[in-house]
Amino acid sequence: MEDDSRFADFVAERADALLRYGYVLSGDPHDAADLTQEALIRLHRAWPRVRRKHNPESYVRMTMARLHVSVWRLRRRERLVWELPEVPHRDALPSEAEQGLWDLLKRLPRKQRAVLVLRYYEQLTDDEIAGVLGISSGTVRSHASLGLGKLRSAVPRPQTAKGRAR
Amino acid sequence: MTDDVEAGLRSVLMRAAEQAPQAPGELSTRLVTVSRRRRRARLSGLAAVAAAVVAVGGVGVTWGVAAQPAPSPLGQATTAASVEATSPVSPVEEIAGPSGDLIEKVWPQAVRTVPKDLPGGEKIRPVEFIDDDTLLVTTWGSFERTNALYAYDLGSAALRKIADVPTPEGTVGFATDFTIGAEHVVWWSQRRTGDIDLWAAPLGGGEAKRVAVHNNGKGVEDDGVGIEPPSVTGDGRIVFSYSMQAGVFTVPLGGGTVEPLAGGEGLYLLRWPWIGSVEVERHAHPDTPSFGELVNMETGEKRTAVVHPGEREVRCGLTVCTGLKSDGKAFYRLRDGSQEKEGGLRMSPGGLAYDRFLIATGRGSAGAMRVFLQDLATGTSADLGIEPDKDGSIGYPAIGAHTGRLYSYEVKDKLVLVDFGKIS
Repeated sequence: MEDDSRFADFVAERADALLRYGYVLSGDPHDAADLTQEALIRLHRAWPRVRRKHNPESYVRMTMARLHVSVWRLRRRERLVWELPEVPHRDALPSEAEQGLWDLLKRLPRKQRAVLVLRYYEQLTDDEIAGVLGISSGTVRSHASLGLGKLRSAVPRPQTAKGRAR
Repeated sequence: MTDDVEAGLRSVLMRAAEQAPQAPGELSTRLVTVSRRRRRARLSGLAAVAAAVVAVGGVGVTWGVAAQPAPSPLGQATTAASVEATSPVSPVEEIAGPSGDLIEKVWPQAVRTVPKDLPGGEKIRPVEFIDDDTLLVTTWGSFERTNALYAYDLGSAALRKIADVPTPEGTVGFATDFTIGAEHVVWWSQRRTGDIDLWAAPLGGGEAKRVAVHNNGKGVEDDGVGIEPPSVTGDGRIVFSYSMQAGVFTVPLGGGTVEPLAGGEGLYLLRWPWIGSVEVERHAHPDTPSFGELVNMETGEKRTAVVHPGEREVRCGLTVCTGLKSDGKAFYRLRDGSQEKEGGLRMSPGGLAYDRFLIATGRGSAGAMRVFLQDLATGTSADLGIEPDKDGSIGYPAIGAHTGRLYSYEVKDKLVLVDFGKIS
């Protein structure tokens, strides 16, 4: 019971931050919600152990990253429906260039995207990313370089971007 | 070393994060409920947990994510080996919920009720109709791990074994998508290497045979997420597509080499004989209708869905398309553009079952939460007869694009079987 109340505190405090992380990881509000929920359910199951040995937040973030790059994503079958308060409708990112980059991210393979999110949003080192995703640092670097390469080749040159943003 | 792209990434990710959906209050209570449900299911081996939990409160029921970063419903998985692949969510606006009489009254010809437990105590999981009076059912060796297939005679409640289902070493995606065709049951599983094992067993009974092993060049590590449910052609071939990589492949049921299907380049299997564009992966093509173009590989017939300028996230089946208008309002209509309706429903997150059905929740006449099966082709809906739990949540089996002719769920000690094939 006490465990449940601590779990509840954790969820109340961190759920929004985890949803933000899930959103940049997946690029999709549905997936963000899916990932957050699934990772939190797994955290609940492992709560006593996680609290003893790990930081629950790192555990959840690692679970979300791994779920996102795993076969899990297409295999969900349970539904949890929640009702949410209205939030203001925000359509797009402020600049065209940002929107363009966000759209390009959506076209990357999930593992490449996850590596970039962990590096540039979570600000983890490549070794830390390797630990989170359970892959080697070399693989992290190759995913990062492939992902960045694709973005660079697709992003308009700075002068073009300026020209368009005028 | 930082360049423009890296700096841009930092800022775009921070900014995008602000658009994330927000968590509802009481989230932890709901998570704990689901976590316990699963635990119970695991312990009891019942695992009839293809369930949804719908929170009570507020008006109507939220099914979808409104147009953009607005609130979202949550799907969730059981394990990586869960059995059902889903197709994209089609977000829908908030509207009044559906209503309807009990399903036995609305579609009496299509509903059948049998005892949940077999006389021998065996726990079976219905998969599909073999014929009007016989079900294909599976049993599980462990959680979500099918170990055998049976034919279940609905009249006599007798079970006849069809085949054992092997799980080769290194399998990470257990046997799934059992499909019936050409007097066989066909399914697939996936190994850690990304290799897809395609299997078949004769419906009359016998041994499961590995028909072929195929790999599209992507390991599980590299987004190799497996294949969509395969089809079986009348002349005994398995046809399949990968989940996120274009191309249609085929192999004879009796075994042989997997070959690309002529004319299937760049396309995906919807359901034999229909293949089309575009894939179901919503991220890659948010603005392109899914299966807007279809071609019948047996007759050559082509079908193009009517899509109006500005419409987004249009997802089509053989009969019905769903999507969002340019103003964000949800719609559904027939492929030819007729019988369009706005709102009034919340999309089934897994897509439409049998090309036209979805599950929606709403308020019954007494104001309590109810679960309805909606037929988009006719606009009729029916109450499944499932009662909410004490905590107000309500569970029901997931439904989706890959649901076949059968939809089954438990009500008390009964198993309710809905035959979509008998709803005209």
